[in-house]
Amino acid sequence: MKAITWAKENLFNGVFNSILTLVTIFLLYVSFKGIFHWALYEAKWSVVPDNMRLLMVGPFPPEQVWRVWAMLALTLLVAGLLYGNVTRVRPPLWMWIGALLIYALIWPVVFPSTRFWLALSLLALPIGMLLGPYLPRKLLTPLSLVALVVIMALPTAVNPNQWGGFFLTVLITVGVSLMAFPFGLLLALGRTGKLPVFRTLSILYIELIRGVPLVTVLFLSWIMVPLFVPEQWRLPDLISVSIGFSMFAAAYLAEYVRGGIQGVPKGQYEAAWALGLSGSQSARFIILPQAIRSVIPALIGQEIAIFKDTSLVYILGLFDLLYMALTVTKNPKYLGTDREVLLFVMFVYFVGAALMSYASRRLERAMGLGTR
Amino acid sequence: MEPIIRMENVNKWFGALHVLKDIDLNVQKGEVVVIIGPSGSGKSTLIRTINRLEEIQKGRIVVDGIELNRDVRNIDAVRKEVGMVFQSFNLFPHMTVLENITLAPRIVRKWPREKAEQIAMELLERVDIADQAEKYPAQLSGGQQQRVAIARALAMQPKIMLFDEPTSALDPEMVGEVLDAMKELAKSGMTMLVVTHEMGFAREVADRVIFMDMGEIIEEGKPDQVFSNPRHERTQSFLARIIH
Repeated sequence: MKAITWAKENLFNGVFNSILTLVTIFLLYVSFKGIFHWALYEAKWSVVPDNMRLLMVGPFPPEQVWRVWAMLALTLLVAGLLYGNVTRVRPPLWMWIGALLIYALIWPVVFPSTRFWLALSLLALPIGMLLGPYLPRKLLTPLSLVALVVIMALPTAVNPNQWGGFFLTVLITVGVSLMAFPFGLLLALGRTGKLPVFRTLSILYIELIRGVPLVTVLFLSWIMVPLFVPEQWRLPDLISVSIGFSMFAAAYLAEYVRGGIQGVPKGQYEAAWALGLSGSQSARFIILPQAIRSVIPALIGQEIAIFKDTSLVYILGLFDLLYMALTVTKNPKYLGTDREVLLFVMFVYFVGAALMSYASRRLERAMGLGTR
Repeated sequence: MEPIIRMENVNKWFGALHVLKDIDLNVQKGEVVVIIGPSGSGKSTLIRTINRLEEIQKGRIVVDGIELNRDVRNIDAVRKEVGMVFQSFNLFPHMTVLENITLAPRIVRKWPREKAEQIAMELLERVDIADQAEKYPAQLSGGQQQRVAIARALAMQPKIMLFDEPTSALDPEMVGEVLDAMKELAKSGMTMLVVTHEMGFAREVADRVIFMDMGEIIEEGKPDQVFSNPRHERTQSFLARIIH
């Protein structure tokens, strides 16, 4: 009923507007008919589930894929534990139902042997939240560190040259973020700091990096980084490319953080100094927490950019999601499925970016409480 | 007796602007000094040199036997002994009241959390807002924020307290509660330097009133003498403008 009233008021109020509405609907129908018809009747969507393993983990040996699952399950478990311990929120009903739905949806796609891992990963988050409140707070940090080491150690049994697919995309995103953030913080502090040498170096570095395209940085690090390490080490391409990527991302992060630092009122510094805090103590306890809080939207935006830009590594022959997708379309068995596969790749990127942007909004609201 | 603050021939310039001219000032332990003067007279700058928020270009400042010079260790040592309350409170907005007060004692004085929190609660009791300990500064009124700022400065157990126009940013009905806290502090024997326009407070609490104009100390003396019987004509015209 409401819909009819709404349509009457907004789409059919008067002869002219009614005609306009009908014409628009007709035009939309004509232009999208083909797409709908293609998506519903012609597209061979089976190419996506048939190649799911390739798209998700690339050339990772199938009998080792449990390692990736274990990383996912452990990450979600620890995330649940931390979240549950801090907020004391019990997992809501929709989380259990969502887990069940996703299980039902993905169940036919995965190998029978991995169904156990799928279930475990889906349950890890709510179970973590359920157990979190019973965990002593003192154990949180050591537990997270141990989990981090285990998570990082899990895939090392497989040669990095065999890591691929969406797994590699996520891995590069996380790795680059972890390396770029501290470096970016240092650059921001250097640029806003009092020491002329650090300030000049930071400015030079930031402006240089921001003045060149990411692809060139990736290519250059791919060629150059191996020259800096002893020959017998033979760094995997993944590492050299990630280092270049991090150096690139750090320059942008630094500028966002600098904006935040300069937004902190001068009185905050003076209050900190008047209390006897040293320069580094003021930065750590007073300035940076406020600066970073105020630029969280920009930081998450940069995080999303990193996530999407990882697709560039396919140029260097790393088997990321995009590379695997293009490989699938070259398989004679699946010739002519470029549209299906690429749409799926876009969908995966979109879901990832949307999740991060949702997390950003939640984080802002949680941190904004009671301040300013 | 050796004064706790000794300023000799202090001069400061902001670029070409000469904001402090040949300031000589000694403050005894336990003395309450109120500094008055028109805006731009350098009175805020004067007290900000005492904890080195402002650098001086000429002259000498010795605080509690520590010479204030370029040596960072001396500056840190002086700042530990000198508390400061600002016009705009400058509480840390991302911390609760209790965290605001315990931060410096915990990381500068290295007190354990329990001790810092116990002393913080005693101080909040003293300024009469113990029930607000878990709130964030933005949730408090201006008067409450300024009393938290006083408690925060006192938590470092300073020997000297500097007040830089502590009531100027407050709504009129909140000025009283902050002045009461300051009076109570003065009675407890704290050495205080107060820049203010509250002449009633100066009359009641000050041991000495200093009048500054154009970066110079024009006149100083007991409050009665400065207010009722000012010797210098600039003091007279300033008081005539401010006391209606």
